[in-house]
Amino acid sequence: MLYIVLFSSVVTLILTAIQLRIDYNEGIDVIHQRIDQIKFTNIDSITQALWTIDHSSIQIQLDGLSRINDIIFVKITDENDQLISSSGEINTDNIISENIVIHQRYRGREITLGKLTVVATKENVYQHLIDTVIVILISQAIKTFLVSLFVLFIFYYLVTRHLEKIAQHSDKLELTARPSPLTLDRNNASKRKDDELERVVSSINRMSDNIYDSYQKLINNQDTLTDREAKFSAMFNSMTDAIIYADNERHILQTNAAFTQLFGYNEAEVKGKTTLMLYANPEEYSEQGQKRYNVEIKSRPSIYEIEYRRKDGSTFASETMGGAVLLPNGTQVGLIGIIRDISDRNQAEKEKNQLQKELHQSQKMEAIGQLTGGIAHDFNNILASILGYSELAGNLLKHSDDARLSRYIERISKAGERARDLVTQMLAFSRSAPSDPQAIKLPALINDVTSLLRPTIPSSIKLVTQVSDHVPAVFMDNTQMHQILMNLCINARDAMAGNGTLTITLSYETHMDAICQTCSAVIQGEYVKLTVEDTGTGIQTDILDSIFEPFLTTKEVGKGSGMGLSVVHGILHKHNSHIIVETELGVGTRFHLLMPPIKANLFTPEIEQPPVQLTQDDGQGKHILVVDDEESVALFLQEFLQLHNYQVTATTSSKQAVELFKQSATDFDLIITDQTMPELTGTEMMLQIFQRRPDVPVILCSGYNERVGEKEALELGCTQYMAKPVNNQLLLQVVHDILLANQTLN
Amino acid sequence: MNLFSTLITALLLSITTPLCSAETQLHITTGFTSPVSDFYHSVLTEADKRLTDIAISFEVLPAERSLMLANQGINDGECCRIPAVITPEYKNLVAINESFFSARFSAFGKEQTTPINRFEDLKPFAVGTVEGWKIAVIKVKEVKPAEVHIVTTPEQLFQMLDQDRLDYGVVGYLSGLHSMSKLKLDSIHAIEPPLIEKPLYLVLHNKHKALIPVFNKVLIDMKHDGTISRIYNELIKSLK
Repeated sequence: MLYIVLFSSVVTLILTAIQLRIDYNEGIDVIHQRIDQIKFTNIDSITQALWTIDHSSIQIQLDGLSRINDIIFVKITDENDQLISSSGEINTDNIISENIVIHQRYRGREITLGKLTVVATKENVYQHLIDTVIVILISQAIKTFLVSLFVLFIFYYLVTRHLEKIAQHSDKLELTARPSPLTLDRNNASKRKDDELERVVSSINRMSDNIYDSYQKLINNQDTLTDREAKFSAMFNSMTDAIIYADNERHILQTNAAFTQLFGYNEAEVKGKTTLMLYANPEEYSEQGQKRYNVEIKSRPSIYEIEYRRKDGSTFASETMGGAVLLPNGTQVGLIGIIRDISDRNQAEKEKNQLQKELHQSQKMEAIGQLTGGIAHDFNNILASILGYSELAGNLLKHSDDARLSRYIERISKAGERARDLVTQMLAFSRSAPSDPQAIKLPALINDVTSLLRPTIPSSIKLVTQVSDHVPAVFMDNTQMHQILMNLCINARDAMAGNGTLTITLSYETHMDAICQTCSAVIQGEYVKLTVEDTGTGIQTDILDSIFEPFLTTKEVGKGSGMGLSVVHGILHKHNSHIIVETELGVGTRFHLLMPPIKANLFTPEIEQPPVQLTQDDGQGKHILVVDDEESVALFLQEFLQLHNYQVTATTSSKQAVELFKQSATDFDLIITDQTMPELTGTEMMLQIFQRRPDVPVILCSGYNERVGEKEALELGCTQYMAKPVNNQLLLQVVHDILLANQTLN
Repeated sequence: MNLFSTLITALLLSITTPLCSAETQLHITTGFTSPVSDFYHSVLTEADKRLTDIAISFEVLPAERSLMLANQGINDGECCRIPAVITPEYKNLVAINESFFSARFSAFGKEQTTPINRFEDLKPFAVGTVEGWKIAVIKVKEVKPAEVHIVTTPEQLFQMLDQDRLDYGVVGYLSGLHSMSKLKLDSIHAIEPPLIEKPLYLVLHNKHKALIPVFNKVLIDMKHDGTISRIYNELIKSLK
């Protein structure tokens, strides 16, 4: 409608303009015609009046002319252009002026009498044009309006109402249900089957059906796609590894939740930016680009380790799988990087390696300890025989004439004792050595050691002790502690090659935080720290982990047993203590002994044990059953006890011992048994014997690494627990005391 | 007509033309109408006869146009004027010395109640005159009579007199007589004496200045032999 009106208005304006132009031309033509009419009708009379110089006639004629339509002014001038007469006035600029020269034919020649000037106004023409415009515009407006209404009505009836119905039908179309077919309210619709509207209706119906079918397919696909996308998104974001998807220019397109968690950036902060911002080292960005993206762009994703930088500036090590993302047709659509923070893993691996190393060290020390203990056990049994028989032989040869035999026996005993000392050290290392831990004050012990040590140290070596006040006591075997300090000081002395400073420092550390050099245990809290420091050559790094192993020595052959530090290790750890070594080649070495402090007053007065006074009549025929799978030991004990008037039945079989005891239980006054035996252990055998006679006293001798310790043995009913190697004299004293006590009770 | 005939005609024309151009052709006009113009025509015709070397033609024109054409040199002379009146405006005109006619303005009326000897005497009356009669118009306007009517023709003037629309009409004596004769008005007569009488002179264009003595002589001759009087009397006689 609006376009019709506009078009009609434009056409009206154009036609009006044309009409006005025509009217204007006609109006101007009329004016010219009037002037021409004046020429034809009035010029003769004017010429005559001018010829006769009849001014009144001229004036009358001019007045008449000036009253003609559109003529507003006329004048006549003579041949010299002098005004003769005029009529009217010129009161507008819109004029047409024409001069008519008046001639008179006189005596065969043309005489100019003057000039008639006629001025016509165009105002009337303009006014006419204005009137015409108004009339045309109004009439055209009315006509346009009416025609438009008519066209609108016709168009509405023929087209618009159907279009509205089509629009309403289209508005009501829903993709969720198959649309009902569209029909128009038209007369003779069947006859109009092929007209445009019917074709549109037909097309819309087909289109609706097609859209519905397509939509259903789309919905199905969309559901599948949405489901897939949701699953993918969930999967994408559930990945614990950070995932970065970038375009081929390495501009980040998408990241997952783990990325935000790992890097601290949300996706919006990195989207569109290059992955350069994520690299800890910018040079790595280019390097990785060449390695991973340019050269082998279409190769399989590779895994590499690289360091990245978080939003907060911190960096972390990662294991990254990077590569190209390819469509099935081989088109590369981007790059993907899957980043895993391996800081913890590296740390764990580092700790694991450390632990493995420590475990290995610990296991090694344990294995060595067991090996050493086992050897020592066997040696103990052997030495028990050697020393025992040497002692017996020595006693027999006291009155021999040949002094050499006694000297030989004595040397055998000395060698055996040296061997026993060595075994004792081995047992100390393997923590199998018996100990008597008690609260000891280290300052006093240090004094004792330095007093003993000073004579053995050259004057060129300065011995310094630094003992802090108020150092708590420690719970240690005094003798063994003495041995430890001596070993360390001797090692320090030997490391300085006759020149340097040996410093013994005692302090109380309340906030220790370190790792034990040998057992790798964590040392935390309060510890008494005893440090032996030398300014010697230091320890080679490659042997640092082995210095606590037995039989390792850097000294010349024969000058060191290689047991010094291993004994230190064994004794300390038996008393829940630890050791740390600090060494620097050419500077010196520090051994820190860390012992748990005793805060309570656990000092007990030392009780002097009276010396055992035994005679060969002590036994008084008491019957002792000796059980030891080591035949030499069993036989020695049998012979040794028999020398002291005991009746001894010895056997190497614990089962046989039980049988013997069952046969004559009341015959035996005491049982001495080894713990470790092949058939029945000492305690197992003891329990069977107790079934028959619970009151029989039992002395249980146990070597290293036995399952049953003193406490357990006593709880099982053992009368006395003795650690191997058993001191023969002590054994006699114990046997005597038990039998005496048993006799007193009975 | 073929080419040969055309050439012959042109040759004959060229032979006859010099015969005619031997005398001076003078076309003299007048602004006076009949019967004055008739008088002039008769006099100049007589002069033409007497002047063998001068051929005079005569024509009556509107008064002003007659002067203008003579002044412009289109015509050769004008007959007749008061030189003092026209020469300031028409500077190309020169007058001959001999006058053969006097302009006589007379008042015409039916009954003369008071003596009318001069224009001032007309003051109490309704007076009319004819346009183009410059002296009469000027004088009447100067007097400012009780009523003034400037009419176009003497006939109008006399008809108004006849119908008593005017008391007196001022016009040339001969023209008045001619109009009364023409209108056959018997009740109107010329008041004596004339209100004014001025001698008029033939004026020639400057280019004919040399002919002034010729005309002076011929006119004097015509006065002396009574030709002019004869012509004038014949005219007066025809008007009564």
